[in-house]
Amino acid sequence: MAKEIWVYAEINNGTIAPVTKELLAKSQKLAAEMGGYTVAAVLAGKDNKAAETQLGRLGAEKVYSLEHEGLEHYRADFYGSALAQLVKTYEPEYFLLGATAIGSELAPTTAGLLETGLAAHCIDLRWSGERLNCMVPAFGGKVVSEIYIPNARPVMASVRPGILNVEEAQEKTPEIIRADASFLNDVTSSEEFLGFEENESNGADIETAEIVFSAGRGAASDASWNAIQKLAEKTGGAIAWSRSFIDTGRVEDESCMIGTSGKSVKAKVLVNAGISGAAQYVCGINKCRTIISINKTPNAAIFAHSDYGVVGDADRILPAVLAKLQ
Amino acid sequence: MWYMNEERELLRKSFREYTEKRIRPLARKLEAEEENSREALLEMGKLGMFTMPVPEAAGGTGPDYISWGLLLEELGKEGATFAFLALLRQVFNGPMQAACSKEQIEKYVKPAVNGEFLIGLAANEPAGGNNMFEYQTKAVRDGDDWIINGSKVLVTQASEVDVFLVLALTRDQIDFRTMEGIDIFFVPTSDPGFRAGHIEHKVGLNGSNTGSVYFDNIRVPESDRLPFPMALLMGFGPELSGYAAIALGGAEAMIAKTADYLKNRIQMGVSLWDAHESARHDLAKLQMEVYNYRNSLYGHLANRNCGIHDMLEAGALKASAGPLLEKVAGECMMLMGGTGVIRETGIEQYWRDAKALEIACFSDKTFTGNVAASL
Amino acid sequence: MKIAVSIKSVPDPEYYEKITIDPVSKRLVRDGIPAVINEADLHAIEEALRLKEACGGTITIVSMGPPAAIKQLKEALAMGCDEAYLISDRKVGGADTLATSYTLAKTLETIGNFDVVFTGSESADGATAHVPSQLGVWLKAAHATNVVHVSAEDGIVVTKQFENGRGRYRLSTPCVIGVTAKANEVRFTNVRDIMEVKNKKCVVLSAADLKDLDESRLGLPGSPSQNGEVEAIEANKECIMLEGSENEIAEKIAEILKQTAGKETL
Repeated sequence: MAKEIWVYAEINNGTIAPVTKELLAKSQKLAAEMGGYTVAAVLAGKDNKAAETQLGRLGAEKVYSLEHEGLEHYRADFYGSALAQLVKTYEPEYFLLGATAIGSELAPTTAGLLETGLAAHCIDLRWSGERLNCMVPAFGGKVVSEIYIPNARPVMASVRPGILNVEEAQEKTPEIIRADASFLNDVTSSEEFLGFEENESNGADIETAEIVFSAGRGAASDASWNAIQKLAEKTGGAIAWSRSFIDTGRVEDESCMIGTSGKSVKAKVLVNAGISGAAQYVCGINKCRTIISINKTPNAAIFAHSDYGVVGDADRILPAVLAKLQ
Repeated sequence: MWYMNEERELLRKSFREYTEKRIRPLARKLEAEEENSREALLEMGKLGMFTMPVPEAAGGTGPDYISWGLLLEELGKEGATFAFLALLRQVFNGPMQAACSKEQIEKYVKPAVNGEFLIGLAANEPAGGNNMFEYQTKAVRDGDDWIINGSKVLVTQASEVDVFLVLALTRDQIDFRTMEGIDIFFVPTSDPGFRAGHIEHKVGLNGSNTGSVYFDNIRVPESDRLPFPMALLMGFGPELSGYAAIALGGAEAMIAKTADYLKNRIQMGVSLWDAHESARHDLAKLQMEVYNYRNSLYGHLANRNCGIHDMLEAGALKASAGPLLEKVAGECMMLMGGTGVIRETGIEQYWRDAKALEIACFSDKTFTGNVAASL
Repeated sequence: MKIAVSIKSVPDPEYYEKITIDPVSKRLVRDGIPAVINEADLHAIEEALRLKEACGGTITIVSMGPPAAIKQLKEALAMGCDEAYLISDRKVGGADTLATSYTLAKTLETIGNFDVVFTGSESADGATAHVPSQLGVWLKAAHATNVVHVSAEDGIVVTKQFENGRGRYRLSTPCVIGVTAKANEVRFTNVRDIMEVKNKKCVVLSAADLKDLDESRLGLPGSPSQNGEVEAIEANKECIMLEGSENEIAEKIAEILKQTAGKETL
């Protein structure tokens, strides 16, 4: 068993995914707490050279690089077999992946092939002194459990992108290990890759969106409305509104209206801008996890239904928030 | 509930999902007369939702009147108008089974029961709903066919159905003993001689497309004349208990909405619900009426499942439906204060629909007379 | 075509507010919370119905759960599926996803040889999203999850959703497909299908009924992952008023957006 923490380096279009950066930084921190562990990045692809050097800058002390033609396009079973064999060869104790679209499939595939434990979509990893506790949300985030893997190895975890709070990692000059990929010549895949189509960004549907920006009468100005559009674009969120907002004439569409005669939203974050908080509106928001409301009036009814309140002018606050995200 | 079993639980669940997803948004549009009920009614038909009270011989899966009641109750929770239009299907499908020939059942009843097209009833005329003897719409024999001329008023879904059951006089003098001379014909609205005219704006049941229709030299084959027209006219009665299911659903929805409102309306740190015993008791009294109404309705429907189709009891349930909705709506509007009178809240519509329900199909006043005659 | 759908009976997400944690046993208290078919599994059933309409065949529902989960199997039959099996046994309880997938795989192998197994890409409660992949691994079948489209015109071709686009793959059969809620719109149930439920096979299996079973792989003993402490996040709205300069306030709001959304693009 090697005292190593492996981080799967996910490369998209030649760029290292941000979650990989987060995981390497986190692993460095954990390695220090755990004592005597080496942080290693794992690369699987057709041509890894470019990424290899970058990974040191992100904190990897070792880079396991597996190169093979079959790894040109992601295929769950082929990649899974590749990683599983790599693990069997080098026996790391910990293996972390980002819970991206690929990671959410690759992690359980690999863990299944290795018959080891995997904690999914973790929002944090904590060293208890004796074991790695993976913090996993359930029931829509209502509950957070500690998951740990007492015996099976490697301990695997997939981690939610953008959620770990870490400082920048210390740069390292990694040892590059060119893993022998010849075993992949005998691995067959039951998936035939047919093609990939890039996204055009499309507006998110308010009822399923994770982030919703909702405009009320107090956000009908150009300043607020433009900021809302850009905030939605930047965050991939959806735009909704109250009936009062429709009455200002800026929009007509009732399908994005929240309220008794409109829709209910169950976003993870709802930002109410210039919304008063009338009963007919708030009945459509009580399933949201975190509600932030901005209103000029100090005792606006909306605050009683919010987690965070700002007494202020949406015209100023919204553009300021946008600036912080850029 | 004593009338529930595994199958009815599954049925009710599916009715609830359908009404919440499909009918809830439609209800507002119907009220605003921005959309009509046709598409939803045909969709329901294709999902088999009109088959429960109809035996297999006529294209149904029943008869089970209890599950029919469950459907109307769920629809009633979203509003009286669409529920009423759904009920009408059975008001016609029921009696057509006794009134129609075998061929007519194949040609019209079975497809209607399964949502292939909509059948309506064009009976009423300016002479009066109960005054058929003075009707002007006539059917004159011409070889193997009949030629129909005339017009009807207060016809529900005047411009929305595919086939009308048209009441036309086939004699100058009706034989009061045998009722011969009163006939009913299947008339397709695709006929060039058919025209729908003025649509009325009513106090309630808006979107039901109530209007006038005109028949200009429409040729109808003898095979499309009902052999037993009186069976149709007398057969409506037992189906009208459906109104009670609609009222039950509406009352339940209003009580729930009002309770929710009172519990969440906080003033000075206390909810209106906690602060006012009078409000709690007002709502409790309405709830007690609902309990009694529910058992009465489903008891009656259970009797129908045993083959007992008491027209007067069905009528009594129908006659009490409008008043129940009016009472519950009125009380709930009062309990909700200013919010109660706002249309968007969703209560006041039942109050208005109740008035229209009281004269739909038959007037409660007429019915009272029928009951008196039976004593 | 022999089609299977693996479904899970979960607490109705509409009632998540009511879930509490027992302070002594640290277990979740789900009493009084009604159960429903996991939402993504409904889309899996819909996809199976479409495949049956296109290619003919039968749809078998399998599920691992407590005896009460039979209700959800009947709901699945009411949607038009042909038969249902519930694997319910103390021995399979307390399972993590590896053990759960193993149990489901053994159940499927016992019942028959399936060409396509659909399941929801993730469940509303645990949301690990592991089962489609691990079921595929145990069955030694092709597998794909995050699937938003399935076509059977030229072999089984699936479209998978990634952050930056969609990829298409042809899968050999047998295959396991994890379907997301975006894949289709679930049809309304038909009265006739509901009335057929009473005539359909709905069987409860125990561990003893499963063929070629390695009991050490079941339930808690077969689960490499274990649960530690569980914390409930209270959902009461005590509004925290954000103070400070506009800049500080904007910073705090931006932070919440970044954290809670966990989006890579921010």
